[in-house]
Amino acid sequence: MEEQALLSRLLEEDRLAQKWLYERYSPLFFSVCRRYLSSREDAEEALVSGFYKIFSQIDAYQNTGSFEGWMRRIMVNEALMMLRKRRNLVFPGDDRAYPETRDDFSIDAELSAREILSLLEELPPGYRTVFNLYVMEGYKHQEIADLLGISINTSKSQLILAKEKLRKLLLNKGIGRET
Amino acid sequence: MDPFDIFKQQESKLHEKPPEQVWKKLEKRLEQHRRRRPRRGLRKPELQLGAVALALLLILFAAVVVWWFVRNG
Repeated sequence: MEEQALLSRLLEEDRLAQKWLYERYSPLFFSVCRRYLSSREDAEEALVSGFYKIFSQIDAYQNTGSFEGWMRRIMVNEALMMLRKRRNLVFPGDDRAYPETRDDFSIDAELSAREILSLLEELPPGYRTVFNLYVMEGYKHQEIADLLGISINTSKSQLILAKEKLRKLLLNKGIGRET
Repeated sequence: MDPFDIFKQQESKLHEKPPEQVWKKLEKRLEQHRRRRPRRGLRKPELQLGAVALALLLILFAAVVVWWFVRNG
């Protein structure tokens, strides 16, 4: 469906257009929610809230930037709100300058979906959230700091600690190796 | 290349169709939202303004009619 035609129909609250958009993007956005939230039920709840916001605030989309990017930001915000609601958004460690993760490391094998999710689930929520925002969504540290209400240094340190933990997990599982 | 970029590269593997009841839940919320809201057309400011102007004109017209009948017995 052509985007402008779709947007017009969404503005009219056309249920078929809403269903079409949901069918197209729900697998992607469900995976976004699953990456942030350990509980599958919470991920489903965040997905419902995210789509509800997309449909009920469709007139707020300004046509400046990609529609998918706009929807994705809404989904990420919903996942973050769910983390806050569950009081999971804590940032262990401090914001001192940790050394960057060593680059003498590589990941050989293809990771399966289950491996990716289980690795992310082993990270504390703070590490995992910053890792998701920085590596997966491509946010800058300043944006992450603004979004989470933390300092830039905390964002940087959480990322380094997340990578360090992942590196150890990958080495232990024999998926990653020192180079 | 950052070795952790592999997570991003393989993100599509995580795509998963959510259970059917998720759409049903969403549809129910959308239906409640639709029932709560005023009709879409009147949410546009120019239409709201038009409706107010029309109501004022009707009141004015009624007032003139009443005044005319009172004056002419």
